[in-house]
Amino acid sequence: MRLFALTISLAALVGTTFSSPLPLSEVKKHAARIDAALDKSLKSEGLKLNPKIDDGTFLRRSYLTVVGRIPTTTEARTFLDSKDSWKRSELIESLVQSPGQHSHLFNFWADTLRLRTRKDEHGLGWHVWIRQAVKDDMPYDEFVNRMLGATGHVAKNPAVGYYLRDRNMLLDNISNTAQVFLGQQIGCAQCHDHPFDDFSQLEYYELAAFGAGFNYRSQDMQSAIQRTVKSTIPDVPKDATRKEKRSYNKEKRQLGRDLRNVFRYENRNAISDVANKKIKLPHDYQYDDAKPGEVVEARFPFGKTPDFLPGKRRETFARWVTSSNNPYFTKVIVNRLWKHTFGYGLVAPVDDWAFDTEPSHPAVLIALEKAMKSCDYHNRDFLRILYHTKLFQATAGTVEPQPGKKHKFTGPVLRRMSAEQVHDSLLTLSLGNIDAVETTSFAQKWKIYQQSTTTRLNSTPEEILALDERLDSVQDQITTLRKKSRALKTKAIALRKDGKQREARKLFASASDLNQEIRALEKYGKGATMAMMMGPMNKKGEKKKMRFRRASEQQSPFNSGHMIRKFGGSDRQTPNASHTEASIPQSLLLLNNYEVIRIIHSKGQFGTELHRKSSSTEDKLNHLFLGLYARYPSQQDKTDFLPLTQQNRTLNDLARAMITSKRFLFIQ
Amino acid sequence: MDELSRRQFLSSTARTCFGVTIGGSAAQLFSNRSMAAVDPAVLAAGGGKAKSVIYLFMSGGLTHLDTFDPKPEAKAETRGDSQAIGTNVDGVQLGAHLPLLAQQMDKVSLVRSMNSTQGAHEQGRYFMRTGFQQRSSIVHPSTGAWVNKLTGKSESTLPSFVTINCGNQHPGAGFFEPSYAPLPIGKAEEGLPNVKRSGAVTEDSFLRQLSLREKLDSQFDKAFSPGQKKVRAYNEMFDAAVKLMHSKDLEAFDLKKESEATHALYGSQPFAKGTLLARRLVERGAKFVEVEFGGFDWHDDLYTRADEKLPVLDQALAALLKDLEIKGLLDSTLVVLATEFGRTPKINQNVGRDHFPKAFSCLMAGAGIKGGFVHGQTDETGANVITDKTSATDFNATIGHALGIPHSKELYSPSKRPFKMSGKSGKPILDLFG
Repeated sequence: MRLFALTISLAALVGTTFSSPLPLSEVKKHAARIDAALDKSLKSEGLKLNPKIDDGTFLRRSYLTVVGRIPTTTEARTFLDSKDSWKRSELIESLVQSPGQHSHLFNFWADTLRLRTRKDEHGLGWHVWIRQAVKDDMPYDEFVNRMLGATGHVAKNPAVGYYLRDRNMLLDNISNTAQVFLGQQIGCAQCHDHPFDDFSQLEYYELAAFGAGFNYRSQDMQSAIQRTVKSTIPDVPKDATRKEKRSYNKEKRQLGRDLRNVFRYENRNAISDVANKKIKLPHDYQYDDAKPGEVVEARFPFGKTPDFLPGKRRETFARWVTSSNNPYFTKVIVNRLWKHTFGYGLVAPVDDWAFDTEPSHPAVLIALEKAMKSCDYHNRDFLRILYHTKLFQATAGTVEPQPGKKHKFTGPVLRRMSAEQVHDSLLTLSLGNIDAVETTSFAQKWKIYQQSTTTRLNSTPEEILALDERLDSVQDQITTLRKKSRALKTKAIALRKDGKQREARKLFASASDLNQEIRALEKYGKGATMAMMMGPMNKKGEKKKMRFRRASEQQSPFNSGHMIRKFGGSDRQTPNASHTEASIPQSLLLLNNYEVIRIIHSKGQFGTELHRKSSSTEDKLNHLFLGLYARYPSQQDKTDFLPLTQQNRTLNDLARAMITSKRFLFIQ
Repeated sequence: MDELSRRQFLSSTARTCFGVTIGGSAAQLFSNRSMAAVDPAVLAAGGGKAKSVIYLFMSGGLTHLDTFDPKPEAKAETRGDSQAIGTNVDGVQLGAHLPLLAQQMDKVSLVRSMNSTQGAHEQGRYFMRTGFQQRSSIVHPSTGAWVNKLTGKSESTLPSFVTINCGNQHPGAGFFEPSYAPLPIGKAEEGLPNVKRSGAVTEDSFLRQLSLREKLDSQFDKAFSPGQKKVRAYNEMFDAAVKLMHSKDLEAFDLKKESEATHALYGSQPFAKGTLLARRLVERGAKFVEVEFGGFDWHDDLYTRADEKLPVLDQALAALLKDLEIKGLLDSTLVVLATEFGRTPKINQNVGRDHFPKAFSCLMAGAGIKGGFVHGQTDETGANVITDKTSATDFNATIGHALGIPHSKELYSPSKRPFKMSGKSGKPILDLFG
């Protein structure tokens, strides 16, 4: 009863709009089924589940796995001190409903889908859309269906970002789609028959043919232009001579071209489908089953292809991929979430399923599929089930999975924290619980873009013509300013040559002021309204604060020098490109980085608490172990380390040693 | 794991991560792979002399017509206001903005017949750096990563592959293991981040911290080290980091160690500093250092931009060649200058030039490359390559040839697809080798 109340109050607190979650009794029933299947499978190989972990290990594992960060000292103390026998389940239930869970799961999707926030406006829109879908726990089949079936302008349907991510790279997009959602590696078949699996090049093209109608253009723009042309240039009089007709038409075309410039940026952010567009086999096609350059009809590589209208190709495709009858769709996602939870797939790699792939524990996979279907593809409920298994409470395995060999799950896999987990954990140390701190600027910026774009696309012909004029005048202004700025620079260079550094610097500064003006004008020309230009992202303060936000609240991908990249964060170029390999820059960062040392020595929540004058030496040691390892020090730890807490200097040495230790970096 | 194989493992993990070895003698004693001998046929063809590469990338698309492939005889619409100057090699001319390089022409081979199909920046750079077209299903390794992968182990305690001022889109290690990734340096003058002990920590404290860490992890290591490569790799990387902190080679990153005269020789701009840092790194055994110089996308006002940028390039590149020669490093260091494409033969209405992948120029020098040589030629307007058409894959194969590494050896991506450093069909430009 109490548990139920806790869930409800939390839900109300964060305003989650989940459609009634699976009752805990159901969750436990599914978890028990999975455990039974695993037990049986292990037993048949003479193995059994590792012993149950202690509270501290469970606490740390739960926080990192569910919300993607270590617990604060207070959170750790609260859990460890509780005598409640249900506390493990209660902890999971509350963490699963917290904003931290959205953050952590968002990182998983950003990595899998190669999210690039900065790639034109569609990157931003897609980012905001995914964030919301994770928050609302949109069922997975719907999530994928909406992306694969998306069409139109990103301002109206941000899910279209899925295709715009790979603008003009249909073949690559299709191969990623097959890889990410169906676990099929068909990339090879782009150029030749797959050497290991049964994928032929023809089948690849047949699959790609579902996207053959793609037109990376905005339909709305086309009609806005047509509207304007029609109202500006009168219809050709019926009795016009041929020559007159030609000149009318020429004028129309010319105006249309000019106006396209007005919508340059809107046009980049949309796709439309042309029903009768088809794709052809490449010119060097070398197999007997078809001829080079032959038109290819859309067909599924497995399962029956239904009849469909050419205009419904993508809808059909999306439905086929996400159908619960698709032999891979459900298996692939449950295996991915299994890996997300336990560190390795029942099938590995998670995106390479051959037709005859055998999972390491086949009965477990069947139980997982069943569980997913009874959750109606709500990932959050499915994850709750995994977190309630006995496996989630078993000691981590001492032997790591070997590539090419089936891994037997006697316990979860020992993992290094992901780059985002490292980042967010360090942030927790300096700021405490930051789960609920959300960046509103993305959503705000997106909303402004949506509004202004919609307005523009729905403009009257008069407004469009005015926009065109504005653009022309902006262009003139830019040209003039550019000339001025260049002249200043030339002068400055000459002055520098003469050794007049000060005067040169002054001129360089004025040139750079002009450049700033030019950039602002360019933005204005692109259609930015004043609101957009004053937008939240342009404030320096906000940018500075961004550094102190969770990884999920920052732009994607991180710059190559960013600490998240050093720890293996994805560059977002290929699916799941993140890694957890060791490197020297990582070690150097933990050892010597100014901000890391500051966390401990002075500033921030953790350091301040550590150096509180009123604390006893025992308090200090407890604080260190709770905050960094999520446990109280053992008797041996006290013998070894208590003397060090008496002096500030040695206390700091110990704390820094802990932050560089593997016990900190790894999740047991 | 027995003692010997454990050491082999340690040595190889440490080596693969940025080419750090566990110390000269021990590494040699236990290395599981001796330096592969260079193929005699490659040696006979003039290759295999390079030990290091300094790769300068002119980002934005360097105009060939106003630099390495001037057309003084062409009509004004092509030539613009550009003039050509003579060099210290008879019959070879350069754009008038490169007077210092002109005096080093006897060390340089120009490639005036570069040709690509990629006319957009990102795709063009990617193609030039990897020899493959950009895909969103795979990332190909950059030339530096191939060199890192295909060369034998390094004796240096420094990272093997370093990039300076290269942006986020650099393909880096591509599909190779992350350990072949470059060490990215942002600003040359700031050097390697976090490599110095913090001022807030005394040496004494630092040593105590190191020993405490071992104590804290002793049980963890006992439980997980034997069965987990990842855990062992962490121990190695940590030790290597501490070693690097105390490495005498670390001063390579400290440009203050150079005399004022040397600084004056290279110039004061960031690109000049990057070039100087590259020289310091290869001097101490780094294999491949890439320095990016941005801002060559001259769609308008070409001449002001040329006045601004080209003297910086001219001075730094000429200085590098001279400096390497004085230090006796030119024979073992391949200097490369590349860009993603050239620029249109006709000057446009804004007095600029637009993207032009059909013909452009690159250059190479040092490590057995002929001096004062020109490979390939374009027509009278620089619009078409008329002899010795050269692709990015040929260019990369040439780098491989100079190093004497197996550039046409197939290696497999994790998705089990075969790839070569020389791309699909790259052949080294053997003409360049004396």
